[in-house]
Amino acid sequence: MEEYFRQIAARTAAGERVASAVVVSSRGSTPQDIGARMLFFRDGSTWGTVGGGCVEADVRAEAIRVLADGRSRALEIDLIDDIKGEGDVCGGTLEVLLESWSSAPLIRP
Amino acid sequence: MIDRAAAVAAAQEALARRAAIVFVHLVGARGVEAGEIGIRAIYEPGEGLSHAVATPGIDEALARLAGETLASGHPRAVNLDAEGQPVSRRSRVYARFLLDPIMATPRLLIVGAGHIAVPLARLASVLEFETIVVDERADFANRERFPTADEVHARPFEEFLDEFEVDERTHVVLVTRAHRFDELALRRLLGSPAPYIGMIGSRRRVHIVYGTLLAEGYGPEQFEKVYAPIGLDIGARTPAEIAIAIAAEIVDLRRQGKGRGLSLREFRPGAGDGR
Repeated sequence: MEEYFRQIAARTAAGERVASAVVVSSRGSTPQDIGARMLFFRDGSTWGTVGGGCVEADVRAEAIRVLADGRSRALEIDLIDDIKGEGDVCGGTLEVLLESWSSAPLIRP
Repeated sequence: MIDRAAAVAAAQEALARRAAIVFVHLVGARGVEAGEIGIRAIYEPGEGLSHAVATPGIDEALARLAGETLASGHPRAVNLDAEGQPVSRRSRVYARFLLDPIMATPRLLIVGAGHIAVPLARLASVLEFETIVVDERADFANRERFPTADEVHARPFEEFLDEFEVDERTHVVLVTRAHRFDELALRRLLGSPAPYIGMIGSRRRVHIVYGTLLAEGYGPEQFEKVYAPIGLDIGARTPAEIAIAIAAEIVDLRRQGKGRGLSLREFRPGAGDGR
């Protein structure tokens, strides 16, 4: 937890925007833990995890949008519709809250 | 409106003093005027919510639920109507919140640096506990034996325990070389806020220690957090196995587990033999 906030504080203090992803709920056989968290940075690097391969690509795609527009949003991922042939392993629904963090106040158009 | 940079600073400040707070995030809403998605307030015990979030009914419910979240230590999503009453997510009208407790990294204090402490300290580091080892013998309590520990103290037990602040996030394992040291340490830990005080020893020995302490005037309620003999019953024999049994017991407590196997035994030949 300490490292999570240290990462956000350090990056935002340097003028960068950071996107966080936190698992809000998880239904079905998804192994994710509520409160599991991950950070996405502008340079493409990340910190932490929201549960690995099955969901992380979807979360990452949304996090890139958050980094672009600075708007926090909730994301629901239906893993049953996953056409990767891994549905048995990753079936279920995952709800993730994505948030934008920056040291500058948000400027809205 | 909460300032996000200030929220991050508040979290860091709370973590530095090992205090626990709750981030209150709006996840979504329908039919309730609840404003923007994302962090909306910080709950601090004794202080309540840092900012108004939605209706007075919702704010009142959020403060109460945030307090419960801190007690359980686990994050939680809740749906409330405009009056702050819990509703189903299929409800026509709801505001959905994530209550995310911000708590310091859990600690494991290992009292005694002997043969069980070595694998236990390694497991604790893997489990991302801040790991602290103490023993008065410098040839046991040293960096070479505990390369992954966050702190290793070669100091007398009493002296160390009288100074060290055991808080709600500090789990303690008593595995000294002699029961009199375990007993001495236990005496200093009863009444501390530690959620777990595990003590090694046979059932007989544990009975003797309890008897001694009860005779000294300690109340039975003070032994509520004491786990002795220590560890889940997995038939552990070697130091590494015992360390796993101890680590499993701590995980079981943190996650409110059931401490038994998960396999679907009814599909096995000989099902119903009680195992």
